[in-house]
Amino acid sequence: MIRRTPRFRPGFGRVRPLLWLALTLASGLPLAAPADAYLDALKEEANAVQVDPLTREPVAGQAPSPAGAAPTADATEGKGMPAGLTQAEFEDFLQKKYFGSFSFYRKLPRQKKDAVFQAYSQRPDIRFIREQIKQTYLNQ
Amino acid sequence: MRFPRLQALALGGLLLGMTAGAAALDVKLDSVRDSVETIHNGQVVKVERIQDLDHKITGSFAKTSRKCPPFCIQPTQVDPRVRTVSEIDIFDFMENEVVAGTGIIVDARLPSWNKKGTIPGSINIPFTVFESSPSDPKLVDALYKLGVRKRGEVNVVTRFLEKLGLLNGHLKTDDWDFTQAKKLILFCNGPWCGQSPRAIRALLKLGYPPERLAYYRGGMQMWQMFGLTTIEP
Repeated sequence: MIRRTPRFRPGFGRVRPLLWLALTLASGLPLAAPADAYLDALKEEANAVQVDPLTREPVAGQAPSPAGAAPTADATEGKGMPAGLTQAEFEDFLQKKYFGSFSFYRKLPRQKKDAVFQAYSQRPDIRFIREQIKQTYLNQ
Repeated sequence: MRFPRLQALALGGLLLGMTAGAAALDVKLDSVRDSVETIHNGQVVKVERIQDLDHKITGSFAKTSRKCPPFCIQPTQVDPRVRTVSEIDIFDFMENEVVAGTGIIVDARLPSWNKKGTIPGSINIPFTVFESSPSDPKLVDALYKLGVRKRGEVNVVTRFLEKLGLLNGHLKTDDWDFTQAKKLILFCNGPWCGQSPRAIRALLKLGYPPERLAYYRGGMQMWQMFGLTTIEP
């Protein structure tokens, strides 16, 4: 009996890796997770990030901002309020000069606004008035 | 994060600053406001614009081009149910919802981006956290900060009624209770960044109420283009 052995078919060696690749794809196994690639790209880009230093604002108490940047300190801090204003003038002053305080003051009911104004009449000090507004607003 | 304390601090911070006339700026935030103040890690930060009329930004946010993919221009809307907002909306949000403790600005970028600089008052929750498994402690902790609570075993009848729309069912899923979920504005690097869109889609998939989500598409790119204050966390 003549035993025939399979002859090596030229080119099959090159086909085998392709066949493996096709089977892998067909099996659903990811060759590389897209999400991981995006994360890698993000991290690589992050390493190259340089931020414009002029936009960086120090927190209160740290070194002052470079020239041209916005100041952190409130320029009116420590300055008093004019005394003797009527309630309407007081509210107008708050709105123009201390809008943060005014934005909470205007949300108070009439009676509590009157109480804040009374506090101002006794002590026209913006820090004191801010504290009054804050406590009144929080304790509603 | 203790919001009553934060609310008091934020209130105190807002009362400290926000002068409309004492130090009038040439470059305001809008026609009315010179600045807004917010709280970042317990400290008051004033958000203003750079006053130098000749200033041009430098650094990476001045780049015009990045490879696409992966850094492709993002659609205007992440989802038709989620609002896309602008810088003005962020200022309003800082003054209202953030102060009241009902809103949070979320930097959805990876920490490697966040640490280079972020929007004051924001908290960093990377988008990958929102894409985690519901049982992942990082996700539970992150959602807790946003006012969302993990549910335990829910009675079958209760769940049935919730699915009928009763018992605030539209704010509850099998896993999460969104009844007290905060309003969020999420951002990332800008209109070429997919991190916050992915975060928003993941939150929607978790069941976060879409009306409590907003997408600041401009991100750090536009924030810096306007010369607005950033802060290193």
